[in-house]
Amino acid sequence: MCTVLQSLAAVVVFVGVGSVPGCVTGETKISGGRAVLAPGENSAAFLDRLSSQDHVSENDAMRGILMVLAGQDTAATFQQRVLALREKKIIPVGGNFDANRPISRGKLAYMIYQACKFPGGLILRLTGPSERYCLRELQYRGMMMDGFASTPVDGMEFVAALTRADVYKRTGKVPDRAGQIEGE
Amino acid sequence: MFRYAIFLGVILGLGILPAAAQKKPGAKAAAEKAPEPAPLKATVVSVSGVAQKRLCSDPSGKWGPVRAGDVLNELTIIRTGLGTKVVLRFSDRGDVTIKSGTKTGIASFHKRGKLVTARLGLKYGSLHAKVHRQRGPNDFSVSTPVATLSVRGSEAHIGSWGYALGVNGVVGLWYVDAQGKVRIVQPGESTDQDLTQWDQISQLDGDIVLKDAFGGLTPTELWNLLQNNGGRGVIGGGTGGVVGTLSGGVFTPLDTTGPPQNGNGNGHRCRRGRGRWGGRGHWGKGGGSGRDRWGRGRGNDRGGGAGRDRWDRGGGHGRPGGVGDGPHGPGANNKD
Repeated sequence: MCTVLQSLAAVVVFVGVGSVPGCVTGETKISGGRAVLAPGENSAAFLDRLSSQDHVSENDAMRGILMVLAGQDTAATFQQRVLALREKKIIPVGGNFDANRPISRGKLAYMIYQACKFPGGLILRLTGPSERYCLRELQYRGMMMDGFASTPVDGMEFVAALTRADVYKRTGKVPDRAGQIEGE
Repeated sequence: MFRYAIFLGVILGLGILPAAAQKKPGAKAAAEKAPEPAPLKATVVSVSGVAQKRLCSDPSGKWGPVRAGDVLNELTIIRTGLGTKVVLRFSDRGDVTIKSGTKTGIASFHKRGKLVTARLGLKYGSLHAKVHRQRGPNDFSVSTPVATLSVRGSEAHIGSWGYALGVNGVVGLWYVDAQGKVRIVQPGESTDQDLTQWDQISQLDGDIVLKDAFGGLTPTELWNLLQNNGGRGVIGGGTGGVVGTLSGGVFTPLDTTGPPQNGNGNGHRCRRGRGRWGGRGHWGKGGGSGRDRWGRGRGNDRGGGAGRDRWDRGGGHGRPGGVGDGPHGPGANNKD
């Protein structure tokens, strides 16, 4: 009986501690909220522009996620994009976003994970999404390359990840390194 | 007398024949002169989604929409957006499906005699190429920033994102030329930018499903089949999995004979520094003087001086920086 109670207590503690990273309180902090991108840019031009960049700004990354979700980005400013994604629960309620800051691999993975509604593994189901584990999930699925969550994403990696996310949303399958879907 | 007549006849014959051969220099030269290449055009069969095109020679650099029925010249660049598919027909010799998030260009497309030559450049993205070999001789190739793929057979899926490359052979043989070496990809096989053996690709994919990819063969049996071009199912025969060099249209396999030299271990799986196949294997850092199972020595193995190991750590040719242009590769044949 004591062993069962101890085990149960350990699980509760574990879940509680694991939930801490997922608990974000406070308001969303937005820097560069008025930053704008080229209006009416279609996804072909957007991907082409980003493919040759050394890093991808959070503003561009959110535009890409909105293109995956809705086919186009109708937001005029960075603040509008943040609010739109927050409303869709792609980004957490609290958080720190900067339009001109290079997006990290973990943050991009979080947004892609939420956008694609992956089921996730044990930790993700118990504790909710976090940058670290969302990245690991996408790496396991072959959608993002190996590396740390804090590393900035370069343009080509962003194009590859976004394209794979889009294919997954449409087909439910992740393409392999040759872009082929299983059964194609 | 009769002998002298024969001798004289031979002398005269030797003197007349060359003169006769030289009598029609124009005809001979005309026969030897190759026909001029005739430029061909590709046709857009279908478009779904957002696709744009432009000509390299267009000084304005404006992008226009791609529509079904469009006729594309050489030096045309096409880029596609999310959820897009464009099907191109290259005369009657090949079909290319450009998938979403792709930028590709037609470097050349012409016909010389019966030979049709098509050169595509793939800046990023993926495409599915199908060449109709039975309709005549073809010289079809796709250039990416890290490799050039040429086809002798007919169908493959090709993906390229900067340094990364993926090739899935479907029908026929594909020659993948990268880093000065050539790997032949057979139907059902795959390779990447490091010309990784197809049977190791699945291990790199991080697939945790435990399965035996070799039909129950032991490592020794596997080695013997490869050495003797054995024809059992998964391994196949002929040139499967052979690495060599391609020069002047002649393929020369590298010397991979001899049993695996276990200079650094006997292949205990999952042990750091010792890969599945012995030597400096799958999870180990490279270097050393051993050779792994496939005869690859120092610098050629996954963690070696010029290789990349499972976690993307490597030497001078690793993805972060390294040779030439770093993540985006040299992109020699990809303008714009």
